[in-house]
Amino acid sequence: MDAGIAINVEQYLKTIALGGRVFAYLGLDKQHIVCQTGGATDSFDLASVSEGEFALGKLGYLEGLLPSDDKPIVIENTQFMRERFVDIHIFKNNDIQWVVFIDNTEPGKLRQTLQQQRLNADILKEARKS
Amino acid sequence: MSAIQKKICMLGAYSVGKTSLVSQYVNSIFSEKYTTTIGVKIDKKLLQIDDTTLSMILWDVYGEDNHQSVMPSYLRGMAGYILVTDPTRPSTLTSTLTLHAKVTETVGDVPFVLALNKSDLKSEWVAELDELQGLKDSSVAWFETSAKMNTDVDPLFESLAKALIPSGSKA
Repeated sequence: MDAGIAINVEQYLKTIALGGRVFAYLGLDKQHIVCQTGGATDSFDLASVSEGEFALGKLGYLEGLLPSDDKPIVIENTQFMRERFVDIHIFKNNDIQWVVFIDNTEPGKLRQTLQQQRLNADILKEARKS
Repeated sequence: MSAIQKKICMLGAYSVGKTSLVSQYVNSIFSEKYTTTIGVKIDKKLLQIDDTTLSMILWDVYGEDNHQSVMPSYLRGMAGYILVTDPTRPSTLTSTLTLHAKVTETVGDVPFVLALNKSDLKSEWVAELDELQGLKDSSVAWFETSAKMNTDVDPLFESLAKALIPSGSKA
């Protein structure tokens, strides 16, 4: 049996996983120097990040997250741009640390609305108790 | 002159004023409207301390509530944190203690400052503040803050910032 994944299946799985969400990525070497970029970098304020640059200089929000361990790191619903929610995934493959940005704005806004309603109700309950 | 960058987390129960404190400190803005944080809002503030420029990367992490607690991945790599409580709500005092214990267990002993926020509503503060004495003792400093009135907001952040500068860098 072939251990590889047929390209059509891989594409299908990718579509399901991303659900049409925009993504971009950076590859960083051991010194956190950008060695690869890809995807919709414009959508994540990454267009000005060039290969050969120190990642933590322009992308201060990665401070403390690098280097990644063997286990991937996921920071959901990060807001480093106005009105945008971004899931950041960091994982290591051989000597490269990959930082993947996936837009989560629509689900994030919905979650925020629901959470707001729930917490407003909780605050009211708390106030009645005291 | 030297420049360093540090990650600082804002931690506490929901609706204690974490976002308002950051907003007041970074943008000098206060809003009466409560907007819940999901995930984390990240801001940056530069501070000059003696010969060192400190770039504070402020992680305003979603507040803990009955349905969600702070994920360890959000705490990764933080150099220090600001623990915020709202003394007008007794439940937040308990959750502050629980959260601090959990953070210590997850990341070890990391410098922190304690904010007893909403000092503009001091007449509504509950009496059980003695519960926080242990936290006050183990903190770098503690402050009675008001994001609304901008009371002791700068000293809150700056006291932690000073604790994060390596001693050799200070004049």
